[in-house]
Amino acid sequence: MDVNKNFEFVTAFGTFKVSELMQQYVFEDCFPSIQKFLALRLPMKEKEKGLIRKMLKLMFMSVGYKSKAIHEKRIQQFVQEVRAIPQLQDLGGDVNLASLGITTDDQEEN
Amino acid sequence: MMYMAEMKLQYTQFMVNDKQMPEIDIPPEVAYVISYIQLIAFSGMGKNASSETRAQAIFPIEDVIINMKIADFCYPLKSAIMLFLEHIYFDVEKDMNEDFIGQVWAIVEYVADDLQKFVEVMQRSKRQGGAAMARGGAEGGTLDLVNEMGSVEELNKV
Repeated sequence: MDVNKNFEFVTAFGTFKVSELMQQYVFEDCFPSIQKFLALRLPMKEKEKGLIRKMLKLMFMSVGYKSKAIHEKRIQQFVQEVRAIPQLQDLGGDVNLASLGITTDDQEEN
Repeated sequence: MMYMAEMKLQYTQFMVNDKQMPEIDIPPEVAYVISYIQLIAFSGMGKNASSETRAQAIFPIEDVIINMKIADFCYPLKSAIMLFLEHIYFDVEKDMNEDFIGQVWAIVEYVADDLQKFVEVMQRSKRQGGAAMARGGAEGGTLDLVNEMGSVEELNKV
């Protein structure tokens, strides 16, 4: 199965491109879930730290492919949560929203 | 697993026929499972120990991991499983036991693989000259950051 081909899924509610479903999966489901998972602050061994480091890097790389306001909101919440966890600061969690090209709610008001 | 094989077969047939935009039907049985998982997930929203415990008994973490593996390219099913994990296993009132902590890293690995696949697909579509996949997604400053971070291949070397 090559997911790189942009095929469509036919459901009872209509037809959706797989790329749209991938975006929805990543930004609307993975980001909030991983946010809650990291908030558990589980103890990590070296291997697990490496996995978290890789995952955080991939998550921040995927930010460039957001396409909806809800994606941006989820990314904001994720970054704010990650920055509040000291354990993650050495694992690539010390990213700020501006460097990801995302404006905060406060900036939008100004 | 049988339904996933059926969906893969549909995809293979489309590829053999060389159609431009293959369509894959989600079998009603899979659609039912997706809705069922979502329904149980919503029952555990917020800190709700009683519902969370019941939901965990209905869909144990071992089954969640197996389903995550089986789901493969079926993103609606994966979305439902992630929603379930968020509300029933991660955002919980009670502390998690040792068994869960031992098994949860398998899920993190699957998510990391999916993210890698997502970034690869999006990078490829960007390189191929703005296919519909990346439309509206890759904007100015954020793209610079992605370029700074490098490619997925480089990440794997690390």
